[in-house]
Amino acid sequence: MPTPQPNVSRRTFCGGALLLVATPWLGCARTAETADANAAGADAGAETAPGPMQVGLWAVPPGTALGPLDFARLSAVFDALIPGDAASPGADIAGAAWYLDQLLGAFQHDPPRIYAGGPFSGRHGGLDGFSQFQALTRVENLRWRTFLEGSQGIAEREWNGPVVGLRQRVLDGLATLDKQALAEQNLGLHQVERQAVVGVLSKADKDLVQLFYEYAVEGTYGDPVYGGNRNLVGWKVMDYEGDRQPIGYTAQQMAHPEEG
Amino acid sequence: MATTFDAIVVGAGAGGGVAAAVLAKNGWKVALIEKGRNAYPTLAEPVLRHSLFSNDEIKHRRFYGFHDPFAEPRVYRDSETATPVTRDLQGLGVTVGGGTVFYDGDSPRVQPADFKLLSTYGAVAGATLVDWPIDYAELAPHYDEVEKQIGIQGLAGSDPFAAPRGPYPMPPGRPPKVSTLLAKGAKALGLHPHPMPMANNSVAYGGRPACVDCGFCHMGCPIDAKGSTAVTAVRAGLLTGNLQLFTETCVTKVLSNAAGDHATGVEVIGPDGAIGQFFAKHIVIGVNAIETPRLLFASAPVGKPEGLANSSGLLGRNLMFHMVFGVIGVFDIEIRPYRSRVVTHALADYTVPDGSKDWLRGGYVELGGQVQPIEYGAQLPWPIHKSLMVNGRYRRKIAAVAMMGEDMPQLANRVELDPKVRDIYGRPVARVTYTRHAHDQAVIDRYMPKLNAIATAAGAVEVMQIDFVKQDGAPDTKHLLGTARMGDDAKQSVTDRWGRAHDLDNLWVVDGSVFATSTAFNPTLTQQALAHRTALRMVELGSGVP
Repeated sequence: MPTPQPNVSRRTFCGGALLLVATPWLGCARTAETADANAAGADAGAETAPGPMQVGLWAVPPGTALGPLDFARLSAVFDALIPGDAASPGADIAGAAWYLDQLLGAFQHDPPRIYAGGPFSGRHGGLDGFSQFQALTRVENLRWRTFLEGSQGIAEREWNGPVVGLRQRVLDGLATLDKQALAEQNLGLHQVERQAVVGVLSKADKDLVQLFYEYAVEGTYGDPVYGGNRNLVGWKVMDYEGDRQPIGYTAQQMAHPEEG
Repeated sequence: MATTFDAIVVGAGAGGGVAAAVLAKNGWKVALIEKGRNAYPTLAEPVLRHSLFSNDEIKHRRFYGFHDPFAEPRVYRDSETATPVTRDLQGLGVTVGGGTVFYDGDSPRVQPADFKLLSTYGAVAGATLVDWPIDYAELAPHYDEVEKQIGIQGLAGSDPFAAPRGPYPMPPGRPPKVSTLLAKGAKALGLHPHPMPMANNSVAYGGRPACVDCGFCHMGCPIDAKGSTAVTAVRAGLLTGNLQLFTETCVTKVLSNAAGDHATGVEVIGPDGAIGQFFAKHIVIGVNAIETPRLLFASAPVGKPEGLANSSGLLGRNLMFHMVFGVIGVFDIEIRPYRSRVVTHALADYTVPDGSKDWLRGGYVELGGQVQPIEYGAQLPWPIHKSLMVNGRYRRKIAAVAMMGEDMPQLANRVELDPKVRDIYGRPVARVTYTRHAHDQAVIDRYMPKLNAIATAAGAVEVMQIDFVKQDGAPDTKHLLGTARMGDDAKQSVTDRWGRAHDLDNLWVVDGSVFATSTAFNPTLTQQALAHRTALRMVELGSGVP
């Protein structure tokens, strides 16, 4: 089964909003709500709206593992790290936030969405094997549950002591950045423009920024089966061909790359 | 299921796979035990179909079939007095095929002088330089055999510094822009570039197709065009019916008698987490130069805290990583180095001494190399990430030149068990201490400008220097050597000239641990030839208890 992907990004969403101003939840207007109020509103919206919902400046797809507010915050961070626009897409249009969200929610699926199948994507011939995610071994299962969920006091997961899971690290990191945004802008991370988020990141702990940066990169340039690089925009923007099996490259393409 | 065998081979990688196949072909009942998964669903079937590896950088970054530092961290320090750091270090494949699933496929033979460095060039202060107990002529027939089995492409006679040899099983594959450009530059300097001997099919071979140069060699070959030991040796062994493959099975201990001079079997943690035991007349270790001493230290018999096979006190010592360093040339033209197998050309000119007293010689030079977008992008500073990714100057217009420099063996460079850190199986992890020798730095200082000159002669407008040993604060060369070095003197080596432990009559080592010196070449083919030789020796001695 193909990985569900949201088909709305901030930019495409805002562009569409010019034509759909009558639809209240599609508006891109900044609000002055507090983070708590946003969270409450977002949660309420998640229960009632079947489609993408607006959280601050961000369109959030339904069914996120992070929850709407933190998904919107994550979108803001990724957009600042790998900025883009319609002419030169970045992390937002690529759906990088959805990529990390899918990883955090990997165990909501069976098999968990950790390792895509093989050998081919189907984009260049052959069947699509990527979307057949592979079952994890016992050790891989333990490893990935521990990494994503944390040890949670479970002895089996504490081979080197307690572990804070990736989900918690992401949530804690977003909260830290959001706190800084509120202090500087009196608005939440998801409510401020890109340059304000860049300002927050510039002053943030380097390890924290690196955590988000690596997932932004993966989500922008990884295979779309994991939720990011939507419509291959990450590869197209950098003029990269991506996966090539089973056709590979011809002798001409190898010897004369200048010909395209 | 039989749990008693003629031989147990631990690790289905470069050496273990080759050794297991030799034994199975000669009628031995062999258990091949591999910690990782089998990504080849049809490995034991009459017709080999595609693997589960793919052109998928995310899967590789999530350690699919690879050493996972979260589950199995290593501890590193760059001197005995430095603070140990728990981290990723020198990971290799952990799957059927081991590191050969993910390597470039570079398969040069070493030169005759590689086996006799001490007697040829003399001692180096502070280094435990030795001659190997064997010579090139002794290994040559085993090179021939493994080249046929693995399937090596190359052009005999194209490297004037190589020992005379017969034709390769396959001709060289298609040349990409990156290597032809660099080879042209090297030729202009009077050097001798030649097609890199590679374990990648240039034509259909061994029931496997020709390589299509997709550029994802480091993530495992989806179509089995690369001759990993999985689709060559291990498969050949399985088809004999004498080889049983046990995957997702972690060997935690080599069992031995009380005296510690005879191995009886291994203790394992199976796929379901249950502890079990296998027994055999011979135990063959084919893991790598970090994991092999780790296993033998963990197998210490009662009253022998120094570990199994360690009466010399040298187990784990003389660890070598190779000095891999080089330059990246930036050009004004489209090169797209990823449109190719990783490296297609090389030169050996700098493996010959140039008369200096400060260093012995340089090493084999690879012309070409590639980087995938996430690996590249994640290393960029985030404020300029987007512009560099879109511009492509440092991704699409680059060509790398890298040297496999001799790494001086040193007693202080070693592997031990860490007293605190554990892996996901509950075992003590390896603690690695590694410091570069002054000789090695002298070689880098001497040869980096020469590599720079090759890139410049090829037309590079900008050249960046890279030192893989120092990058990210720890070595990341993927060449793990030494730690159970072979030799004739049981007080000066861990294994004998056949790779058998001096201390045990039936424990054999078939991985890079047995290297007495690092050589100046990519080590995998030599490792495979040594494993072939060791296994044939075992057959020659018979399957009964010696």
